[in-house]
Amino acid sequence: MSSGTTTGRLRGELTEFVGRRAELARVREALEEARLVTLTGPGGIGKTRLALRVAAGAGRVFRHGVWVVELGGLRDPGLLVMEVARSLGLLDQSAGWRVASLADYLRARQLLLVLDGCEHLADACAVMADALLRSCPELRIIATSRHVLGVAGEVTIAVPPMTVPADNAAGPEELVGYEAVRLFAGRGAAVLPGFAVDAGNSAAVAGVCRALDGIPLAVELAAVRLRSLSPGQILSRLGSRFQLLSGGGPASQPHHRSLQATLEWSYELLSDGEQAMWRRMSVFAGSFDLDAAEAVCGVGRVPAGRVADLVDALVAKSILVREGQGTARYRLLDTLADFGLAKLRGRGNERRLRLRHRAWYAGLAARQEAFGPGRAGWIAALDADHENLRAALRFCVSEPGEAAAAAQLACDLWRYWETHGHLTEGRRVLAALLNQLDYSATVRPRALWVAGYLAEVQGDIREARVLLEAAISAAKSTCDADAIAYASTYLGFVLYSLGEAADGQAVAETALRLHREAGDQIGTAQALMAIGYVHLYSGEPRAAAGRFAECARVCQSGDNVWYQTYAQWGLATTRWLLADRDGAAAQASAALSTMRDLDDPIGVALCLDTLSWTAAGQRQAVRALTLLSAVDAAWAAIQVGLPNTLREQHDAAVATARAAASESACQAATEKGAAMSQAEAIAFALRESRPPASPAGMLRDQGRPHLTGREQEVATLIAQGMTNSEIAAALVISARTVETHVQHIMNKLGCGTRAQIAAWAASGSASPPSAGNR
Amino acid sequence: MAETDHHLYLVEHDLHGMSSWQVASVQRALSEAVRRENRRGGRIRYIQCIYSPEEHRCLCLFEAADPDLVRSVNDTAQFPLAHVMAVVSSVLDETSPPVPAEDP
Repeated sequence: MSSGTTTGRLRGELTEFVGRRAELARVREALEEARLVTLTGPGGIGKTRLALRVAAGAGRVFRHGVWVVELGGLRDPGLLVMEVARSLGLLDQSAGWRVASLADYLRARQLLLVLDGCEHLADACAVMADALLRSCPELRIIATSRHVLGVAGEVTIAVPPMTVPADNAAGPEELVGYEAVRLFAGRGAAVLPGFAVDAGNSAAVAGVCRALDGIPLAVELAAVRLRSLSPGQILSRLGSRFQLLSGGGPASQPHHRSLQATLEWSYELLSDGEQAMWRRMSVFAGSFDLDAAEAVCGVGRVPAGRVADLVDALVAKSILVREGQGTARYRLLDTLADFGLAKLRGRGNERRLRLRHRAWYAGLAARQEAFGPGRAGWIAALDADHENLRAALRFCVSEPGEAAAAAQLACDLWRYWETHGHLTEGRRVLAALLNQLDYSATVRPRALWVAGYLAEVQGDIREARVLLEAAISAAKSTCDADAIAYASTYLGFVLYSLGEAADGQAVAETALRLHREAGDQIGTAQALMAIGYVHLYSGEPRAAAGRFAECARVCQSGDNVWYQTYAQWGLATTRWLLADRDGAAAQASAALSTMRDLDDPIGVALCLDTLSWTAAGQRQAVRALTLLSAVDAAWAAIQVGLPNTLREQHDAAVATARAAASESACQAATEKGAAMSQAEAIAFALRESRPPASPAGMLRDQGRPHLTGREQEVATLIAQGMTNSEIAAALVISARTVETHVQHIMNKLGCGTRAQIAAWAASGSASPPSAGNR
Repeated sequence: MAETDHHLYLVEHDLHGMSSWQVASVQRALSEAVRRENRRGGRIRYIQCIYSPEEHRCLCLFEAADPDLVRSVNDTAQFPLAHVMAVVSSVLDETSPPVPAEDP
């Protein structure tokens, strides 16, 4: 499905970008010549910021956008390609070599991929990048890493520290020519309004920047201290800290030493509570919300009631970064997290905090809202905390005695893994845990059937059978009737897939009986759906319809919206097969509307497909061709396919519609459908006038007026108070070009003054300036 | 690699739907992953790959000090679900009678 945008997934910049003109030019130039450009340098040197800046400016050059994959939270090299695919919105539905399917997707696309933070996965990144670049002629990659990846054709750019004044640098006018000084002054002014480099403080400011070797992260941390200290005091305190660290050891590299000294100094200036929070928050991976911070870190001398204030203080001191436009989330930069973790380990408290972290995220997973109306919100919450869920599981796998708790957490995540493209991850985690679990562990049968189910969905039918049969055997030995019922539910479909239809039917019927006896509504619904699918794919639509209808009734009495909607789709499809075209269309439309609310991309594609057949059958050839093309794109976008047994319906609809329309109409409809976003396709299928607001997970900036990368840069610089000549100098373009950009921005935003552009850029608003502001 | 440390491991990969170019890509990725593992000090050799075009499957034979190294290179090459089997290779005795030739 068309991305509909050239911006891809780029996070907005939270603070002003300072300097780096020479580096920006070098990276841009390198990207024109080479297809893999790796930015190297130590932590805190600004690799990510530079890469994202180049990427933001490159948006219009790449027809299919710029996509950023943040790898800092991924610790498992085997999941690298899945992570990249997920970042592009592709689901992990196949058990095959995902590099090949990703290359298939990228082959015809002109796209820039930013792999941010490759150092801990360097070999996997190198092997994957090499394979993708050989297969995808218009793909380019920017990688950031502390070390070179070592791929043929790679151009490496070592990101230097910011420029700093020499010892004898003179007055403030000259000093602001140095990047580190401008960064210090800019960040300083943010915490101390009115702060500027002047004759009184210029020597001290220059000294601070020199002492910190121009490392941006260190300069930023030091500048925050202007809130309570003068530049001279900062310099003096840093100086004594450096003396302590100059004795060699791991911090003996000058850059490392400067950063380490700043971190130690920043840490010591915090209150006891703030220090404790920094240490404790280092167990989070990626970002986290306040509830999680209170639950995990609020203990002992830092009660939960104080956590919000401490988080606020750490944000103000630039230790924590606030993210998110809705509910606030927080993140420790990797370098700060590593520092905090070292401190936590030094106190011997890591295990205690990791257990609290695991308990919190196990609670989130156990909410089990996979089937009810709260499904989309629950899935979004799991998605936001995916890195934390991984970290919790990783801790349990490596910690003796925690395998059973981890297996429970893993089993609770099965529907999330399934519907959000993490099948391989789930299977891998469960395989590791099953190796560790005692044979008598009560969670073992469930872990086996969940692993078997994930293998079945991924098409690894042989492995699925082994696991599901093992689950039944284990469940019988522990008298776990629930596990026998679930394993049998899925084994029935596996046996059918292996050509043992009669046995499959019998096993599934047994499962249905067991679920009913247990009063398990969700299990009953699943068994009914499984039996319905077997009938549907066996060419028995009437029998299938009976089971789908029964499933819908069962779900109606509970809160099982998800299965109810799949049952609705099943009924629509059987109606179509039974020649009830109008009934099929009405039912598929109702199911599609709910699938959208549930944020289920596979369910959406199934419903769109059925609606395209009904349109063809209702002699709406152009509409049918548009939908058929849109649904092809929808399947391709998630790299999932319509079940083979229904493929002939799709192909027949194509033939029927093509026969009824002129060649030009066919082509126009096909092009129209292929260009639709998922939201547009749904709106078209439901005959809505325009798509509703984007659901969670869609591109964050879709509602924002679409400025080109350069226009965004210009708008940002206007917001910083620069004149056209200053902007021209900063961007190395002519003043006349700047004027043109400004005019374009005004046209797109519908505003008439630079002040309005500045206000809009500074607000990060998704909407153009309101009439009231004009 | 010391003689006593030799162990053979077999990994089967399902390559359904792949072109011959992609199958070659798989081999390159596994070879590169092994090269990188060795550079880090791991002791592993990628001995042979037997590919069945009809079954779309390949059997990869590795010689390594332990199965974790084999898993590691398969992870690096993006085969995270690889099932690693310890195997023993037998070379046929040269004195075995040859397969009789068909009558002309």
